[in-house]
Amino acid sequence: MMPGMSMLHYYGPHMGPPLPAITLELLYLLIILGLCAYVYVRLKDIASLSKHKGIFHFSNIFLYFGIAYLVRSVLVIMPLLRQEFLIPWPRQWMSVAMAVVFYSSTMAAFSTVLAAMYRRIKEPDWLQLALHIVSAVLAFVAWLSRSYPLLLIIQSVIMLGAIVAILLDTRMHSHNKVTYILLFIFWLCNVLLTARWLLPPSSQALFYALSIAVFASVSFRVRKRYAHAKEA
Amino acid sequence: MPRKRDRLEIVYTILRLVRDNKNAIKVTPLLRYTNVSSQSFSEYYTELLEKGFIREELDRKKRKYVTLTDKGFAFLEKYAIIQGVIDEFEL
Repeated sequence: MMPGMSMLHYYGPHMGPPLPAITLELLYLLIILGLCAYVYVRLKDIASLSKHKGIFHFSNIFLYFGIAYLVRSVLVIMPLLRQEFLIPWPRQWMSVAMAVVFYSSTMAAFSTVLAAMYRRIKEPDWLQLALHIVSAVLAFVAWLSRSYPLLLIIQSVIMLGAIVAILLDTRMHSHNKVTYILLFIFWLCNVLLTARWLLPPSSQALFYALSIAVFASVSFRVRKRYAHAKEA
Repeated sequence: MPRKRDRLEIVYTILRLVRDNKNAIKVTPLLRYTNVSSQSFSEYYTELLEKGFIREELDRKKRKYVTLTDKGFAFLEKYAIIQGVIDEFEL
């Protein structure tokens, strides 16, 4: 195990007093969750009406990222609450939370690949179930290992595969490719910040702002389409 | 040569034809106005019936005609949004 990467590192001192850190995390969580929920609810409505697979997979990206960011924030906030208010936070819950984060973020990556590739592949009926099983198995591995480096390596490989699939899609314009790639990059940055690894805690606010900007741009584009349709 | 319509466009065409005919049209004229093969039309028609976008009713002379359900009307209302999102995110 790399120095500083044990679970104890998690309970180590954080940068700055806990209360502002808790406030920042809560604010970040509420904004990201709100944006993901907005996009998911709007897209789910039209996905169920149209039965369009591309919209279905694209909406799932925000469902799974919403869950992943929610549980990721719990992983960050609970140790701070424990430190500040002595609220108990058993270690077993940490590993369960890690498994949930791993499962949902992996499903977000798979949903991105499906959204980009569904026109090129004939999607078999068992594919969704198979992807859930693969994500669950990887989450189980994360739960057993309790290792952020392992989580990062596996997710980086999956997301690299997703990025390659997106880049190979000649039909897609660059601004949409950039959106997908940024979603992945900032997710990995969030994991690095959660593990307090490689990225300095002082960069937290910057990466949080950039993550919010990516989700905000998607929700703005969805809202714009609803507004255009109403005007017409 | 006119480009091939995708599934959503054909569904929209069928539902719009029903709506524009005062929400009551017989199946044969609907097939004719949709401008697809009878086999394709049959598949779309069955799917729309099963998914609750349209329903069949009988008039006083026991002749079958097609009407839109609330779901069918909702699809027509939201079609512009559906197409907009597909175009925006290239789905």
